[in-house]
Amino acid sequence: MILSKHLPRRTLLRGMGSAIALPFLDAMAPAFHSAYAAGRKPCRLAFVYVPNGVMMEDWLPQTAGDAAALPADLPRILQPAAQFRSDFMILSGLTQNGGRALGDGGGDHARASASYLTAVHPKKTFGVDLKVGVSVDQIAAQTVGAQTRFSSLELGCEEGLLGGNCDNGYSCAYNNSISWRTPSSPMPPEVSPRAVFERLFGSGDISQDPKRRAQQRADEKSILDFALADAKSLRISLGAGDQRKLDEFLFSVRDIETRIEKIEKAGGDVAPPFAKPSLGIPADQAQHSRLMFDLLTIAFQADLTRVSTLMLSLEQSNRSYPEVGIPESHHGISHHQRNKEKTEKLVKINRYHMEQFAYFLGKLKATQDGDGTLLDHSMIVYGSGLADGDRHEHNNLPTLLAGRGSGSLTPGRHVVSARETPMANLFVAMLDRMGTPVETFGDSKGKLGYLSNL
Amino acid sequence: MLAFLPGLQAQSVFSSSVRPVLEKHCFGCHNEKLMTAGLNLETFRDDVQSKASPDVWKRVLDRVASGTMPPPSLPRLTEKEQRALAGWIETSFGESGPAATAQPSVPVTIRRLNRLEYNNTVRDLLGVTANPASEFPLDDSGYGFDNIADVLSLSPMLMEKYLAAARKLSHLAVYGEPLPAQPATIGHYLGKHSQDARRTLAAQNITPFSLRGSIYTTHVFPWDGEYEFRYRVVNFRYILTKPGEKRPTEEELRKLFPTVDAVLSIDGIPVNHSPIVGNLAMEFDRGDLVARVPVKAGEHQIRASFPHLADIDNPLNNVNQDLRRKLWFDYLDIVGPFNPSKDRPASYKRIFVCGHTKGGHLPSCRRTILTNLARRAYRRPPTSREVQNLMAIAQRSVQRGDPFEESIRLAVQAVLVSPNFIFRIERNSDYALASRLSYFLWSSMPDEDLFRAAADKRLRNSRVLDAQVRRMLADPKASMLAENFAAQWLQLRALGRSTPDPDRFPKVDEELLDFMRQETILFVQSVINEDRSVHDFLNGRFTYLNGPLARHYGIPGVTGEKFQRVELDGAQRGGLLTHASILTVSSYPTRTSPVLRGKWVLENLLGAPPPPPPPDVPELKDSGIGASVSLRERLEQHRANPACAACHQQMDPIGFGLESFDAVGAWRTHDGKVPIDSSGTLPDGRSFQGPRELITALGANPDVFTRNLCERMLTYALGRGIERADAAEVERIRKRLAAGNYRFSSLALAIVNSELFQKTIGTGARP
Repeated sequence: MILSKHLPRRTLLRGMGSAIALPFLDAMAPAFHSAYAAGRKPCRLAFVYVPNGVMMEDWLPQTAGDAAALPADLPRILQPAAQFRSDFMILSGLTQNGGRALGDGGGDHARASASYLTAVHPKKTFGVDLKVGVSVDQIAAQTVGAQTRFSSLELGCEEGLLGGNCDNGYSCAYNNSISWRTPSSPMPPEVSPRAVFERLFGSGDISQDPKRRAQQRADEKSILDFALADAKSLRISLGAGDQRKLDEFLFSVRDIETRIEKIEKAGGDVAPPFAKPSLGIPADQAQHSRLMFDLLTIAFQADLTRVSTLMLSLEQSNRSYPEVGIPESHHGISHHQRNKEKTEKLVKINRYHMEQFAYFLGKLKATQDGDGTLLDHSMIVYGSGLADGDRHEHNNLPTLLAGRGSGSLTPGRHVVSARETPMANLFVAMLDRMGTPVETFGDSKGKLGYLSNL
Repeated sequence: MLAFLPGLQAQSVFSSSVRPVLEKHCFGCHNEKLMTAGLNLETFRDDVQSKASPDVWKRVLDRVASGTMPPPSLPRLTEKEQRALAGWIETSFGESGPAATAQPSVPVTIRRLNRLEYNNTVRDLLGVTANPASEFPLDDSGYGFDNIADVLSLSPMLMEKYLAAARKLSHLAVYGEPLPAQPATIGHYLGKHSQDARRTLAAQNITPFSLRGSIYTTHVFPWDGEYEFRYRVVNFRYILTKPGEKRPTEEELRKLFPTVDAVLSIDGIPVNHSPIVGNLAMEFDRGDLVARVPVKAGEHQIRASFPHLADIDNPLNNVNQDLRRKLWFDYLDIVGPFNPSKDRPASYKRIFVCGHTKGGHLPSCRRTILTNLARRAYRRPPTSREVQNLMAIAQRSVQRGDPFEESIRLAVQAVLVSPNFIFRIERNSDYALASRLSYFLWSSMPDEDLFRAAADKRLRNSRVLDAQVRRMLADPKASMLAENFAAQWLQLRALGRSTPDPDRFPKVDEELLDFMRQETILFVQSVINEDRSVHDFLNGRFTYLNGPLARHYGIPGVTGEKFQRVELDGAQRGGLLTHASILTVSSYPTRTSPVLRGKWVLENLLGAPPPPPPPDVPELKDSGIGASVSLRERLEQHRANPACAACHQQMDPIGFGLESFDAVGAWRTHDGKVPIDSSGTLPDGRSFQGPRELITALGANPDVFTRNLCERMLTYALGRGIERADAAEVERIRKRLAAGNYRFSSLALAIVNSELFQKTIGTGARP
C-alpha cells in the first residue's frame, strides 16, 4: 500500500547514537513512484569497480548449463565472499564492445572505464571534447534521484590522476570516473571520507541554533539565486561552446538548491551515526574502503540516496599493495604474461578487493530495511571493465550481481549468457527493476536484448 | 576539360602518384591488419577522404622528411617518390598556404579558475591565506597543463565546495579567525619514522621522511602574535649493542659525542638554537624544547633540523644498526597565539575601502564597497544591475538588523559564488587583456596597477604593455612561472609520487626528493629573474645546490642546508637534463629506463613525441641486468625488429646518453658490475659520447627546442592546445624570441604581443 503522507525517517534517526535496526512503522514507508516495484521497498543501485581485470581462471565458477547453482567450492577470488553465496550471482558472457579499439589504436584502459557503465565507445582525445555517454547509474538517478537528498553518490578510494594523456592519447578524465552525467560531464568520485561525511551530514561550521541555521540556509538559497541570475544573463552573450561550460554551472547550482529544499521539507539534516572521520586519506586501502562502505550503507539506509558508484581504485591503477605484501604496481602485475609468480600476486590483489566487497555485503545484510535487509532491497554490481588484464580483453567481463533487487532477482547461481552478449542488456534489466526502463542504451541501435534470466 | 575540375585532378593525383608510393613503402606495416603505430594508411583511397585527416599526413610528412620512415633497414624513397608524396601533402594542407592564418580555428572558451588560481585569486582579492582549494577535486589536465579551458569541468560536488569555501572565506575576510579563549595547539606535526612507514591514517600533519631527522612543513598562522614551538629531540647516538654491555657514564658520553645544534627556522631564518649534549635520549628529564617567537599572520615555512647533518658524507651515518636514526625530531607542536594582535585582519581594509571601522560605517558606503568588490572580483567594472543584485543580498542582512559589517560579509559570500568570479570570461577589451596577462604571469588576478592601465585603455599600447610585462616578471608573484608553468612542463609534480626503491637507493629520502625539486625551481627562477637565454635551460653552466644535494651529486665545496648558486664546469652536469629531479621522474623505482628518458626528452623538450607502443609488448627481462648483461644490451631487442626500431631509434639513444646518471640522478661509471656505455647515435646520424655531447647534439638545431618551448608556453597562456592554424603565429613568436637573443623576457613579450594572445573569437559581442 502506497501512502502519500509519511513521517520523515529522519525524525527517528536524529538523536540516535548509532545506525542499527530501526523499528519499521507503516507510516514511515516513503511514497515512491516505481511502477515495477509497486508495493515494494525502493531498490538501491550500486556499482563497485576494480581495475585491470581479474584472473578469470580463479573467478569463473565451473558449472554446466546456463543457470546452475554456485558450486560448493567457490573459485579462489570469490572465496572471501563465500558466506554470502546465497546473496549474489555470477554473470558471465557479458561484453562491453565500446571498450575495444575499433580502429582507435591503443587505450584499452581508458576505454574500459569510460565504456563500463555507458556502453559507448569513447572519443579519443587528450581533453578537449570529452565524449562518451550517460552512464546507467545516472540514468536511474535522473528519475529516482528526485526523491532523495542526493540524486547519486560517487565514491572512490584512489585520488584522481593528473595529466592529459593517461592512456595512449585518452584524457585522464576517462580513467578517473565510471559515472557520466552527460556524454561530456564526468562525475568525479570523492575520495576523502571526511568530505563524504560532511556532504551527508552537514559540515561543522553551520550554526547549531535551529533558527540561525534556517536563516543561513535561506541566505544560501538567495545567494544561489543570485548566482543563477548572473549565469543566465551571462549565458545569453556567449557562444555555443562557452554556453556548455556555463550549463554545468547552472546544473550544479540548481542541484544544490533542490537539495536545500529537500532538507527543509525533511525538517533538517540527518544526525550522523558515528564520529566525523579525521581529515586525510587512510593509507591502508581496507581501512579507507570500509569507511566509504560504512558511509554508503548509512546513505542507503537513511534514503539520502539510492544510486551510487564506488571505484576501489582507478582504471590502470599503479597502486602497490603492501597490505598483502606486494610492492609492485597493480597494473604492472596485471600484465602477467602467464608468469606464475605474477598471476599468484594478481590473485592476491583480486582477493583483497573481494574481502573489502564482502565487508560491504555484510553491512548491507546486517542493516534492517523495512520487511527485509538493505541487501534484499539492493542490486549491487561488482566488476571490472576488463576480463584478462594482460591481453586487455573486453568480452566475458567479470561481473558479480549481489542483492535481491526487492524481490526481482534470484541469486545463488552462475548465469551464463551467450558469447558477446552486450553488458547493456544487463543494464536494461536493472533499469527496469529500478522503475526507470529504457528501450535503448549506449551505442545500441534499436531495441536491446534484456537479460531475462536474473 | 579536366582543368576545370580541380577536385577531380587532385583525386587523380592521389590515386596515380601518391598511393602507389604508399603501397610500395608503407602498406607492409601500416595496413588494416597490423596497424603498426596505430596507423592504417591502406584505408586512404582518394583525395577527398585523405584530406579529412590532416594530422595523419602531417605525421607522415614529419617521418619521411626526417628519414625515420621507412625504417632504416628498408629501402628509402627515391627523390621522385618523395616529391610526389611531400608535394601532395603540402599542396593539400599548405604549411605556408592561405589555409594558415593568424585566426585560431578554435575559439577560446571561458575557463574556470583551477585550484591554484582559485587560492591565489582569493589571497589577492581578500588578503586571506587559507588554501581552500586543497579540498577541491583535482583538475583534469590536457596538453600537459591543468588550466585548459575545455578540460576544466564543474560538477555539483565542486559547486558545493565553492559554496562552503565562500562561506568560510567571507567570515575570515571580515572577522578573521575567531581567537581561542586560551592559546591552543594549532599545529601538531610528526615525522615519518622510515621511508616506507605505513601510516594508519595519512593525515596532513605527517611530514616527509628525512634521514637527517628533520621535520619541515608549511603552516598557516591565523593571527599576528607570539607562538610557542614545542618540539622534542630524540638522541640515540649511543645505543646498547651487546647484551650485558655497561652503559658509559654521562661524562664519557659527552666526550664521545660532541654537542650539536638543533635549530628551529621560520622561512629559512633560525629563530631558536638548542644544544644537544651527550646522549640524553628522548630528553625526558628536560621535557619539550620550547621557543616562543613572534610570527605574522599568513603562510610560513617551518623547519626543525640539525644543520650539521647537512654536511656529513653519508646520511646513513645518522642511522643506527637497528635502523632507527641517531638524531631526529619526534614532533613539533605549535601553540598560540600569545599576546595576539587585536587589530582587524589585514583583509578588512581591502574590503571596507571607505576607510571607516566598526561603528563608524556610513550606509552610503555600502554601494562604494560593493562596487569596488565586484570590480575586483569580476576583474572588470560591474554593471549597475550586478551592483543592484549585490545590494539586494546585503539588504537581507540589513533587514534582519545585522550590523553593517555582516551585510557586507554576506555580499562577499555571494560574489565568490558568481560565475563572473569563478570563470575567467575574457573577451576583447583591455580588462580581458589585463586578466589574461596576470593569470599567465602570476596565476592570479590583476593588481591595481594593471586595472588602472585597463581602465585608462592604455594596455594595448605596445610600450605600456611591454613595461607592464617587465614589471610583472620582476614581481615576486612571477614565481608562478617556475612553480606552476615549469613544474608542469617538466613534470616535476610526478616527483611527489616517485618512490625510489629504498633497498637500492638507501641514501635517497623524501627530503632529498624535495631538495631535487627545489634545485629545478630555483634554476628556472634564475633564468627568469636574470632574464637569461632560454638555451640555459638545456646547457646552462650553473645550478642551485645545498649540502645534501651536492653530496648526492658528488660536487665538493657546498655546505649547509640553504641553497646557493653553484657554477659548474659542464663536465658532468649543466642544464635540466642533468637535474636529479628530471632524471628520477623519468626512471622506474628500481632502475633507469632509456626508453622513458628518451620519450621524456622528445615529448617535453623537443616537441616530437613518439607514437604509443603497440599492445602486447612483452616485458623486459629484469634478471641479470647489472650482473651479466647491461640494460643497453637487453634493449638491443628494439633494434632487431625493424617495426620497433623506427620509434626506438629516436628514444633509446637519448636514454643511453643519460645512462651515466642512475635512477635517482647520481653519476655512475658502472651499473652493478657492468660498465656504463653512454655513447649513441641520433636518427640524423650525429653521434656522441656521454651526456655532455648528447646535450650539445640535441641543442645543435636550436629552433627545435625553442619552437617547442614557445608552443608549451603558448598552450599555458591561452588555455588551449596548439592547432595547425596557429603554426605561422608560433613561428613569428619563435623569431621574436631569437631576435631578442633568446632572453626569457623576449619569449614572454612575444607571446603577449601575439595575435593569438590579444584577440579572442566566438564569444559574443559584449566586451
